Amino acid sequence: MGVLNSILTALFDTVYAVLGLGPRWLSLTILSGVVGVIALIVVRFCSNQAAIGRVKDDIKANMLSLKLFKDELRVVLKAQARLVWAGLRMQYYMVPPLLVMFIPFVLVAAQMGLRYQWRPVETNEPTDLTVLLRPDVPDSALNWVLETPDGVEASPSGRGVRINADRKAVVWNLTGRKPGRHVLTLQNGTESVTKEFVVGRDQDRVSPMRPGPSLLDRILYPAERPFGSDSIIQSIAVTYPPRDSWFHGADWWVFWFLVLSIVIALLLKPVFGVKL
Amino acid sequence: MQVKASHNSNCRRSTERIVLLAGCLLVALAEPAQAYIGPGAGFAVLSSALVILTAMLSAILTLFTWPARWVIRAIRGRRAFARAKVRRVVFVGLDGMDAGLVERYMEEGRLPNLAALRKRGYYSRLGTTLPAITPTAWSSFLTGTNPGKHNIFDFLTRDKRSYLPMLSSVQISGGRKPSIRLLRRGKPFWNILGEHGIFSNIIRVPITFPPERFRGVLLSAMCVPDVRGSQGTFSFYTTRPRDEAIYEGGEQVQVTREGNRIRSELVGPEIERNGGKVTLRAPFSVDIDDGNERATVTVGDTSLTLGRRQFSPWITVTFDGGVRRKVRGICQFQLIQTQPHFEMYVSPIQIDPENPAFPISHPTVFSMYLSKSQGKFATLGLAEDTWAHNECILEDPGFLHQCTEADEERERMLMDALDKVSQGLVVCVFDSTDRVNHQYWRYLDPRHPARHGFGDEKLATAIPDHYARIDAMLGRVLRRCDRPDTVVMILSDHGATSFRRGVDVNRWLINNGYMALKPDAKPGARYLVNVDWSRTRAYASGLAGIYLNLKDREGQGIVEPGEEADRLRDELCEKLRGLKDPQTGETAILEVYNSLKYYRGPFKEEAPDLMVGYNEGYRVSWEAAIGDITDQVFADNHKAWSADHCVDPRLVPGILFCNRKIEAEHPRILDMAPTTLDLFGVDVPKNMDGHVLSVAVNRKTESAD
Repeated sequence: MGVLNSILTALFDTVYAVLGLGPRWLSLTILSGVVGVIALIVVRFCSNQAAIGRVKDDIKANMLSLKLFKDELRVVLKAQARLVWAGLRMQYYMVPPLLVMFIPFVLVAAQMGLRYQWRPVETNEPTDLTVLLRPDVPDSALNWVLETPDGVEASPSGRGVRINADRKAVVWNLTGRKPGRHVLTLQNGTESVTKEFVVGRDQDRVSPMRPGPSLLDRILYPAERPFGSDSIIQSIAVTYPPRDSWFHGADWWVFWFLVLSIVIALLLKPVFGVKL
Repeated sequence: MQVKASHNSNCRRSTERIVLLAGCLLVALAEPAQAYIGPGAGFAVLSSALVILTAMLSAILTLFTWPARWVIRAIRGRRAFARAKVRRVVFVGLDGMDAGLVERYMEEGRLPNLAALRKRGYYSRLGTTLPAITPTAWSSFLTGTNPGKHNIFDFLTRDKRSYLPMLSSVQISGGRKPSIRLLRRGKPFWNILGEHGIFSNIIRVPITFPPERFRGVLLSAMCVPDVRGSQGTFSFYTTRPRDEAIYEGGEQVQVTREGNRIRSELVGPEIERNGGKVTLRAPFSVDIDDGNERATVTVGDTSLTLGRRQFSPWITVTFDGGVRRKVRGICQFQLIQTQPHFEMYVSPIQIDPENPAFPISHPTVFSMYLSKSQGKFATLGLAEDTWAHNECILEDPGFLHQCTEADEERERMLMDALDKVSQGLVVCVFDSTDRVNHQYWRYLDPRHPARHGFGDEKLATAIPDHYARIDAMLGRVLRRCDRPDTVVMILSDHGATSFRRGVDVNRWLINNGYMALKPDAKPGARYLVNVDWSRTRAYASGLAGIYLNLKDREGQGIVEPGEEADRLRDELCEKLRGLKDPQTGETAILEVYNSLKYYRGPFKEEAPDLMVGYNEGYRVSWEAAIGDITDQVFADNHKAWSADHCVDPRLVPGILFCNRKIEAEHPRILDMAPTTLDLFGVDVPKNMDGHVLSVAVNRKTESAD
């Protein structure tokens, strides 16, 4: 997973080096289109197109049957039952491409989330850094020291605020004074770990969390190398503000990504000869 | 065996694990990643979920609004079925099914279902029309009137100004948006039923193109053209030199073989573009496998391999005429041979029922519905390619394949109609009986000139076998209709008889001084172009009759209307009646009917002035029908088309079976419309010429009898 994430992150960084030159709505549209086309190709080769064609014919025939024989109650109800059955059959035939697409598309969407869901903090804009530890670690494990690079200030400096209640965590307030992709270093005795922190460059992708062994966190926060299962750290998170746009901002981008990719795929399906 | 079982078990376990893992993953990631699964889920869920949702909403809506709709219909005064004696009437039309053959085959035990129906219900010969041909007879069936009221007297009529032949039932004019006009007059009885709130499902009844609006659904039949606008033009692709053959009703395309590949084009419709006319074409290729006598045909995205003499299924062909000008058609391929010359038959490219270039059904979506629910089907008016068979492009088995395939398509439509219409009218006409009579009668007639020469004798029993197939189909239909409230009538519009000798009526008219040719007449010229109209008093055109060259009616008429015309009519009737064939000594013409005396109604003057009633074995010659004048009055018919019914109607009655008793000694085809109206309790319009037949409607009473 770590290797795959590294490759994907590098790939997306390269792609966004080009796409980032244009407006964000354009990059989202282009990516949605590409994903739509890939989805079409997957459906074309991973589904039983002949069977889907038959189901579609069945659906259209029963829809027309509703219109043509609307006064025959028995025929209408039968057509409706057949439509439900055809809908279920359609879902069944879409399971193979869905299984094939599911993981890759989650990984792709996770990469897009790093670029559309959150934005870097602005210069002088305060935020938090949270180190979440395993609940069973001794109190001595909370003695982490944060070393900030030039351009980043932490409060308190050195050791952070220790939380030792229902979860064990250490928290700092961070303020970026210079724009850039900074590397924060945390030390506890001989153990040293890093976390990236992005300030002020709007087009940059961020990494809200360096994940621990949780599979879900590894999938959703793929930019940084995750901690192993033997690590006492569960995650290190920076609270980035959500991006503000009704199209390519937080949460909206997922909606439009979904809509655009489907619409583009539907428009292009005759070109690829795909039955959907 | 154990190892194998163990291996299978391991495989199954692995598969189960994968499925389980995938399932767990889906469930585990569902919540946070639900927005991240993108188009995959979108495709899977959205379309099918929408279908399910629509169906459910529609079901709820239907159930809740049903009482209201029922009340609205009642308030509107459509007291459908209020006086009806039955809930459903089903007509199964069997075009051209011959009464004589049916009776013989019933006696021989070949038609058990019809024989049983005769026993428990009713059977009689059915009086047909003058002339006894499909368009006229079915027009009388659906209007309940004589041809003088529905204006259909033949397949063809003539342009009065130019004398050129034209279709009698439909007028198609070109242009960017073609205009199609139905020339048949009178109101089909299902339109009248519709006005009384009774639903009808009408499938392939001749002379219903273009489709008319009414309360019901209808798929048109006879006169529906192919995509080229013709009544069916087949194509024959061959590597033979071009001048070796010329074909009637089709065209030969010479192709060149490049290695194992042949590239050519399917010819489509003509469209107007940039002020001129352009013929659209669709490319296709054939990859030949000589060793296995196979070929792979590729048209557009479709590719399929055919063995020798094998037919393809219906293939969709798209002719690209530019933006918003795509014309879609369907056709079938038959690989005839790969060596020594490549030969391939392509059926006429028919209108795609799913994307019709113009409506072939009412409502237009009905043909789409049929195509979606049952697959592609032949839409051409005369779907079975008799021309290709006559020209020996299709052999006997190939033609029979077309007939049986058309029957299968039609049976599916009929069964669907029976399923959809629980009360109302269902009419479905099967054409194959007529086509099989036409093309295989030579095997029944030992004197027929074309008995030999069309393939082998293996299909000598084609007609009895086909009648038996139809009987089996009728058995299935009757079982499906076995309800006390359903009346089933099985009928044919006419019969058939041998066509051994053709009569060139125009040559007879020339020999007897009624017609003259131009001094520079060219042999083989069609459409009467050789006729000197200034010296011609009468001419034959089409299959049925003779026209007078009447002044002020015909373009170059010379016969004065009134007394001169009446005298000429009588004179021709007298001379042609009893005309003998000098070669055989047989009477070729039994009777000649004066149309003005025979027909009643506003269109009787549109009929040929004289209708010729040929004797058994005779018919108007092929040449005379298209206005090509030959040197002799009588000639042998050497075509596979070896039977006909354009003869005296008394010789070719149709059949009428019913699952109820009927009190009628001489039922006629034009009695069907008033009888049906009466069964549904609808008043019979006064202009109908048919009579109401007395049909026993109570099956219990009938059984007791």
